[in-house]
Amino acid sequence: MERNVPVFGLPPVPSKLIALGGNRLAQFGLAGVFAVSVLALLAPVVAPFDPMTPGDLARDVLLPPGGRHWMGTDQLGRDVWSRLLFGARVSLLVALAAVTLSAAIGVILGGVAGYLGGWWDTLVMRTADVVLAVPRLVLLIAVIALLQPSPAAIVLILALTQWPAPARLIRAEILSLRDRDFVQAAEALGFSRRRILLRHLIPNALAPVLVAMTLGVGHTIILEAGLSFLGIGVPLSWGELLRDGQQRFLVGAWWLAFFPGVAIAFVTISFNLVGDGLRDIMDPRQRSGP
Amino acid sequence: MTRFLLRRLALAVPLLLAVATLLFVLVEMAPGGPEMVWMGPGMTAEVQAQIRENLGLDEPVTIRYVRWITSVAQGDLGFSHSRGQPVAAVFGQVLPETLLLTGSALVLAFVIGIGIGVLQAARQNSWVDHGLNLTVLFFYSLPAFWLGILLILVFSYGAQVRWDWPFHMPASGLRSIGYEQMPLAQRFLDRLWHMVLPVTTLVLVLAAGIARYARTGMLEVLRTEYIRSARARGLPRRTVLLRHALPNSLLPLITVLGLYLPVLFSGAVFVETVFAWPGMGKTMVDAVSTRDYPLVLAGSLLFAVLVVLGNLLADALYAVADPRVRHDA
Repeated sequence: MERNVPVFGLPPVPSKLIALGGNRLAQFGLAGVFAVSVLALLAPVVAPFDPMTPGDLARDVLLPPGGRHWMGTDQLGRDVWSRLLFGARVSLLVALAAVTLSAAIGVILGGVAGYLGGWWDTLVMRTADVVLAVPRLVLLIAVIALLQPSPAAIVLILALTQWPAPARLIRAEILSLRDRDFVQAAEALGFSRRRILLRHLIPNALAPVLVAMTLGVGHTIILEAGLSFLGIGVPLSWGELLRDGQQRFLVGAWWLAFFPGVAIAFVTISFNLVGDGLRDIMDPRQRSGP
Repeated sequence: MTRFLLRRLALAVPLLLAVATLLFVLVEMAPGGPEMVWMGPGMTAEVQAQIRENLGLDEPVTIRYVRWITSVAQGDLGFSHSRGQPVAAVFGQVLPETLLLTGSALVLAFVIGIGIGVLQAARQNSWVDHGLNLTVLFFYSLPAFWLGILLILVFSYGAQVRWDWPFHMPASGLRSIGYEQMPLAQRFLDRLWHMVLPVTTLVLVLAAGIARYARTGMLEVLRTEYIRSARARGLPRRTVLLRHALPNSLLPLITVLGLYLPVLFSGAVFVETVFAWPGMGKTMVDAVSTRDYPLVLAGSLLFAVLVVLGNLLADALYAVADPRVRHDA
């Protein structure tokens, strides 16, 4: 049952990524992630209109989908499709940054807790319990009030509320790795604890965190949309567009709320498909099918 | 078992104290306080000071902290400024509405989610399985409030304004105008009618998550030896699935149940906001925007208590349901 763990270097993840090629659903997911990323990167080239400049207020306001604006226009006559493309940059960037930051915090803290054990373990894991028991909404108002609403503040709050999950994952892995031969060998060679943790233990314990991160991107995009919905969001993010739309759909402008939601669903599904595929590869017991 | 529960409860006390302190500090650091509700730009400094004094805000932070902690520990949750009522009275009004909404949604979500998961596992890799997989993933990947907006758009706005359907759903609130004049049976139907859309929204999103767990759990159990031997003894497929496999496959769902306990009481913030459902979730959002800190603090603390209780409940249920898990220590 012993997994073939390399003692040095990167975890066996890249080869696993290649193995995703065999999973058709995961392929769809990868294609979706790739497509949205390309569209977001190329937004200035692809978008037919400027996302912020208002259109002709007499002619362009709240046009239904069709003609020059195939997703319609908003209350200021701005093209919804162009706003979505630029919004993809904001939403993806915020989600990726928040997930990466929370994983980084979680991996370091969880790694220290698992490897050093004892007092450190208690401190980190009890802090995690406290964070999980505080409603996100309250953390949110406090941090936003302190930092002023900005993309960085949103990323920070999302990361600060989400690190316990990766911390628990990495801690569990490290507890199971801690007494393996390769760790004892490294200790016998007199390597520092820091080096053993960073170079030997964490790389070998990363696999479940990577799966959780992939699944976490979609989750974070939804969360960010929720923040925008409550009025604390990043300008031009998909959540903010959705909120604009929600305030106007009762005058019949359904396209304002509809398309940003479709975009969120599309990206989230794509990331989840990739995440499910990764999980199947890492943990063959849960494989959903050939 | 009793000793285990008592020990866990004892451990929960310092945790909750830490959470309460953190909450107090966070709220203390946020600029603008409850006095903002009454203060206008034209007020003299004396009036402003008087307002602060009336609210007890002129005292030093430490004194207010100790006073708050001790009164909460004695069961006094404080006074909600924005609603002009004791916090406990506010909870008394909104908690039943939230329990009605989230309780019925959770029960339906567990029944439907488990049903879907079992069906998928029983027909693993068939087109039914794959189709349901994608459907479940779809609802799992949606923001709940967007789903709510779409349902309002179709069944409330569209049905009424665009397509002129013979019926349309209420988009918000608990009851119709003229509810007081209705006979009892009609009142019941009216309340039920108002629950349809918000409950559907919640059920779709929650059931999707539950179905994912249920399917995995079921597949795991179906691979075990005792299922194979039950089959080998010639038991009907149906009996093996429902009587032998299902109970054991539900074990992982106990964790999910523990995670959902706080949601049951804290309410579904987004769904309640979309459907203007006056429950805990919406009350907390309103409390935040009116800076009603006693209400914010009490609601958050209630949430924390429920998180702790949810974990405890899950562990205890495990011990009862699964003889392999025993808490001796």
